[in-house]
Amino acid sequence: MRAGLPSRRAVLGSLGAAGLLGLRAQAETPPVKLVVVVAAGGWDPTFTIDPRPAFTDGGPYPDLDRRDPYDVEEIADYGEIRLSDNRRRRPNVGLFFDRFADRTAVVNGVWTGSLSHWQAMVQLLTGTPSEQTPDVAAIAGATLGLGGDVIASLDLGGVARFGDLAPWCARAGVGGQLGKLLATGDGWSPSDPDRDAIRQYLDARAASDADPLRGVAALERGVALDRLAAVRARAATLTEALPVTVRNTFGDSVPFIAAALREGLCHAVVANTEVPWDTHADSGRQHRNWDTTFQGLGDLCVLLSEDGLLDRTLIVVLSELGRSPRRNRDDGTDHWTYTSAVLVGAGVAGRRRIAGTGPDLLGVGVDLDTGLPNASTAPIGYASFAAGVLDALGVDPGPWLPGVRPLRAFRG
Amino acid sequence: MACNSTTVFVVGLVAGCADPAAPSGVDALTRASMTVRGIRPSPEEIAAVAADPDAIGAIVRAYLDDPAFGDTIRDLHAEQLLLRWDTRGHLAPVGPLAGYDQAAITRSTDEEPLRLIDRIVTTGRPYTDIVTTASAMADPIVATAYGVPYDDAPDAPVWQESTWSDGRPPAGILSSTSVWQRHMSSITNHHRGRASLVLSTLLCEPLPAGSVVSDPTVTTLGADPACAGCHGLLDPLASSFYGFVDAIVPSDNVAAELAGCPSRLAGDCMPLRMWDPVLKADRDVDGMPAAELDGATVDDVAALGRAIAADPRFATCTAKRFVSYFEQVPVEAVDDARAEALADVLVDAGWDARALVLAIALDPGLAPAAGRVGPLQVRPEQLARMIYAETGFAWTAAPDGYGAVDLLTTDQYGYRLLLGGIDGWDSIRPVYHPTATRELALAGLAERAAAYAVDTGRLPIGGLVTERGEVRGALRDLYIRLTGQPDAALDDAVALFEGAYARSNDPAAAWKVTLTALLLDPRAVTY
Repeated sequence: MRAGLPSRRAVLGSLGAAGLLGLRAQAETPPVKLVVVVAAGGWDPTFTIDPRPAFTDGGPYPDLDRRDPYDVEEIADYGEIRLSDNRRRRPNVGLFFDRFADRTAVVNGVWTGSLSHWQAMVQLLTGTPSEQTPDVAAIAGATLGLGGDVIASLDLGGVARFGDLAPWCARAGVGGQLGKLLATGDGWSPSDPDRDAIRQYLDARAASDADPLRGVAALERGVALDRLAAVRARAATLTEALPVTVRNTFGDSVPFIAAALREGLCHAVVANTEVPWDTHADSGRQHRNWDTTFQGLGDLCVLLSEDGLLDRTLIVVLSELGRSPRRNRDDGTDHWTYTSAVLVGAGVAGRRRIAGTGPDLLGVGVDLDTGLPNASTAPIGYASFAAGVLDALGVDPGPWLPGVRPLRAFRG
Repeated sequence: MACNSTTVFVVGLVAGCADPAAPSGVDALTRASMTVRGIRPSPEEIAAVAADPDAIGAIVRAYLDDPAFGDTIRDLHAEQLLLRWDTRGHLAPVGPLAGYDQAAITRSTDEEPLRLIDRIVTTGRPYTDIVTTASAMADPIVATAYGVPYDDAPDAPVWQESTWSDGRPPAGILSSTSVWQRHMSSITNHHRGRASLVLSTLLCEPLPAGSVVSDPTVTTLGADPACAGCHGLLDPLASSFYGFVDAIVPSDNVAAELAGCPSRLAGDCMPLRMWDPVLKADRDVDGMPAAELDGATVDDVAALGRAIAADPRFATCTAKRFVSYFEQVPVEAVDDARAEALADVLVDAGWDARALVLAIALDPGLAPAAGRVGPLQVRPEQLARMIYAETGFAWTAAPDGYGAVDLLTTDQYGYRLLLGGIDGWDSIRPVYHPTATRELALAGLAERAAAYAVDTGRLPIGGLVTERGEVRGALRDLYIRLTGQPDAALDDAVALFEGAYARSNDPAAAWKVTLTALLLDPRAVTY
């Protein structure tokens, strides 16, 4: 067990007991929920939230159609946020900021620590180099969600890392397989009394097993089965909202995410934008990716607002990589260890930008509390970013990321 | 060496002698059977070991001849090399493949390198062949797509050993089209991802993870220590891959085939080439260094394969990987001393990987009674085999326009990810804990399998009995089959049956409920 991380048995003991007794600190307000939207593949923030208008030769904007008077890149300022706005190619990005800039902060220059998709993803989501560590969504969900929500963290795109918190988490499948399984009508299935009897049987079998090594496994399974029962209780709502397609895009999933949070199915959601960000060739595809993603983000914010949940939900949109500042000979860009993030909702200082990149897209030091430039400090690291997300939710990052100073500069 | 020497115990087993130091007990047999084959031992085998614990060795040795052992070897390598990735684009049913469906094409092309490893291991060839052999495996789809010679005689096996026909260096899976299609390169990646796969997976030397902060004062990436460290490790190894195409683009193939393969698009038509010797010259164009592995020249993948085979890390890493898979622990958690000892077993056996598998499966420390390894979760692939073996049920679907898929071992339409497996692209590490969605998928599987087994009369053996004594007898038989427990307490199950029967007054329905519960028993979904 890594230093600073609770043991598996301790986690089970504390979380399981709280779950069983339905205990949670009776805060004056319910805990903030979390949605992590992952632009898996490595987005290019210079197209939008980290503009580089000074680039010319081989820079980020050679796609413009000079014959189209509306295909222009303009710098739009939303307080401190500088947006490269193109209402022809990426209208939904500008529309999002038009409507939600007051709730939004942008963080540029988060160092991901790797050029490998997989390693950078692990580091950004968990704050550590280890695949075994749960990500911020699992930690937040397991710490805050018990007694209220069914699932700590629900993964929609296969990128979430649960670690030892897996019994409290769940995967929905890339094509909405969760909905398919919940749907009835496909042959015989047990009645509700039969299902209850089966559950009693499984509990009795687990309790009667003399093998001491099976104790923790039995506890974990009990947690998972409890959550399954609650998921089934919400099956009608979920199957109506969850799309079942070949592969659900982020936009497809937005109604389900809103419904899942509203119905208390989960405390945290990890979604995948499911668009081709890894543009080693033809960087022009980034335009549509940004537009599609922010269309979904805008729709999600609208739905959460209508449900009265936007003030109680922190949305973090991020990517495990940025992209290199110059295009290659295939008109693409390559992996870059500095990325950007967009934070929306609960506790976020609106119109705030933490400007963590220099003129050549390398990271620069910023004060983690104020966001002001500080040449004597390191660039924002992935661990500080992850710790900052947990801290913003009211989760002490210390046990999970010992010794890491959280990024607080985006907080309101 | 004496047959009763611990270190040669398994070598001896493979060679034909028995060792009284083998682990004993039905639980040990169950774990060994699930480890080697992914299916439960038969009631006869359970009875044999219950009567004579020393019988376990010969029984487990015979498992190596079971086709399910080959399935296990393919599953292991698929997981560790990320070679089953059906959620992403594969070749399409166009042109010469128009007679096949997408599901079959995806399945076959993914299995190509796995079948080679299966053939090498199950026939007792040296494991080093996986990086040195000139052989390739092909079925009709692979042969058509990639131009591999194939015997299409009616009595010829579907999967055949063949060779690549384009002159690529012979290097086992390092020459595989499917491996490099999964692990694509790009115009700027210069095969570094492929080099990383070799280092991390075959030699257990992962790249250093995120400990060096980029120096913003450095103006060239080559001088930045955060960059130079990885590049110094990767680039020389990446240079050995030149000659391989970055990636075959399925959409380009579709366009070319639909256009009738005009000469200008011939390169995008089947048979598709992953190797072009002209590309070797790009190494210098790209400014890559001379091809080396730890200072030794490895000018192409054939030389690389030979170097890997001779590298002491390969045996140790192989041992770690096998232990990691079978004991469901991270590779980095495998004890170094134990890995070295198992590497010795492998090498002493002439690199016969069956010896390594037996050493792990029959290690007294693996047995539940030893208390070292807790309950192991039945993997999705094992569930598919186990459930089919016991009930005759295969959970499949045939989505329109896609073809028949096994829902337990795929992710595009299936439930592998929900069951704790990986999709080989976004999710690359299994989850060995219960989750709500695993339990949901397990329940779906158990209900369908139970209904199928009852409706077809396969289970319970002896028919749909309802008298308590007969019910108890049928349950005992089912417990042995599904959980490997000949002495399990049956009262809970009898009560379950009687309650279900009382509610429904239908023996078939009551047995479906009961069988569902047994298929979900803690001892059925773990081992």
